[in-house]
Order: sequence, then C-alpha cells, then structure tokens
Amino acid sequence: MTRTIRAWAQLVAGAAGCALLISACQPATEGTWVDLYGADIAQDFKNFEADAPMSDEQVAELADGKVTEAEVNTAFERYRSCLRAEGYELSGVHRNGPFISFGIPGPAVESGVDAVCYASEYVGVDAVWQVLENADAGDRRNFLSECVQQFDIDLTGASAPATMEEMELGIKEAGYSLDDCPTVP
Amino acid sequence: MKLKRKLTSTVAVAAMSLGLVVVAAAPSSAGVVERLCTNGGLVIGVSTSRLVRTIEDVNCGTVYVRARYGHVGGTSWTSWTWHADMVTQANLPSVDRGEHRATYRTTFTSTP
Repeated sequence: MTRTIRAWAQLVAGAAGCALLISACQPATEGTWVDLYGADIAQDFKNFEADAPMSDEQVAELADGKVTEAEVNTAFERYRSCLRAEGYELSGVHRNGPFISFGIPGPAVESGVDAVCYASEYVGVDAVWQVLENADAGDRRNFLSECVQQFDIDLTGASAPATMEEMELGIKEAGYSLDDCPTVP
Repeated sequence: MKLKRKLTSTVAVAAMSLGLVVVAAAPSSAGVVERLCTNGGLVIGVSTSRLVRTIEDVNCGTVYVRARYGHVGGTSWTSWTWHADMVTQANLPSVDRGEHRATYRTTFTSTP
C-alpha cells in the first residue's frame, strides 16, 4: 500500500511538472512502473516506448497499480480507433475468458501503424491484464492449448486461436478428460 | 529446477508437435528458434502451420507471441498473447510466421 501511495505521489508530481513544462512532459518514470508492476513489466513498458509513448489516458489507467476490465475495454477501443483512423479494421474480435482476441490486418503491422497504436493506447493495460491480473487464466489457456496440441484435437469451426471454452469442449468431445491432459506448464 | 523441468517437458511437447527430436541445447531446427536474452537467459520460439509458442528458459522476463496467417483476403496477425514464462496460441489457420518477444529479448521470428 505504501509503495502504491509513493508511486502515485510520484505520478502526481510528474503530472504537475507536465503542466508547467509541456515539452518535457514525462508523465510516469520508469521507477514508478517498477514500484507498481515490478521490473519485468516496467522494462516491457520501456521497450514499447520505442514504438510510441503511452497516451495520457493509458498512463492514467495504469497509475493506480491495477487494471480493471472496464479499463481494458476502454484501452482496447482506443487502440481499435487508432487503427481505424489510419484505415485498418480489426477482424474477429471476441472474448477468450477474461482476454480479448482479434485479428490485425497484415498491412497494419507491416506499415508500423499497429505498433504505434498498440504502444500508445493498449500495451501496458494489456500486459498487466494478461500477465498480472489474470495469471491463472493465462495458465489455463496454456494448459488447454497444450492439451489440444498433444491430442491433435480437431477444432474446425472454432476461433483462431481457439478460446478456452472451445478448447475445453473440443477435448471433451474427443473423448478425453482434462485429467488426461499433460500437466505442463 | 522447476523451470528446467518445465522447459524440458515443454520442448518435448514442442518436439512432438513438430514431429522432431529436439534437445534444448542443440542447434535450431526448422520451426524451432532459440535466442539468447540480453541478461543471459534463453528464449525459444516454436511455430507450426497451426500453432505458435514462446518459451522462456530463465532470465528473459515475460514472453509474448503472435502469428501471421493467410486467408482469402490476404494476411492477418493474431493479437499479442502474454505470459510470465510460456505462451501458446493453438488452432491457427495457415501460419506462415511466428513472432516472439521477451522482456529481455527483442522480437524474433520463426517459420513453420
């Protein structure tokens, strides 16, 4: 809790600095992200800054040291709007447990637009949501993916990649129990 | 030790899925790419026509994966999937490239 309060204070101080000196605005420091989310995720944030700095909205969503599903939805819609503004439309947007899966047009990636939009609007929220807030669901997604692969289960008609619900159903319809699945990871 | 066991098992699963015999320290095979991380770790990327996977050995941080796949309208990419140490996307159509990344390793690609 103390760590969160200190980080928030740093962020507020940074924001105040922004107001005074817009051109030098750095809304959150690397140290802030380390305090809030740990060294690895903070480094991930830094890595993606090479594509684009985080928008003020995304920084605000991350500033309290947690990410909610509502914030994920909002950040995702900003990302989608960012792509749309450049003429690219995501396809196959669907839920996979707590996660959002979708297809990105090849040209959006190859032009670099996707990298900019993802870094600016969504990457930090997405990372925290997948790695920290829903680690158990991520484990289960891996477990089911391995099982589907191990037993070469036909998931014709399922999403690409298959959702956790589709994989679990496919495993059962193929005559296996989840207890039959390999236990890695 | 836990991570090592996990890696060995995971590489074995990857190998089975590719119909290959893969030893972690062996040179990369088609569909399996190994890359050193900046802080001394090792990360492995795997791709088949139906699956992509990124596996962290140790010291690579979080890992992410996505795939490029073909369809009638051209090509698309899946969204990034993240995990602390290993991540898989299964049931993909016509993968022609896997893209792998880790906290301490810049993006690298694998091909089925």
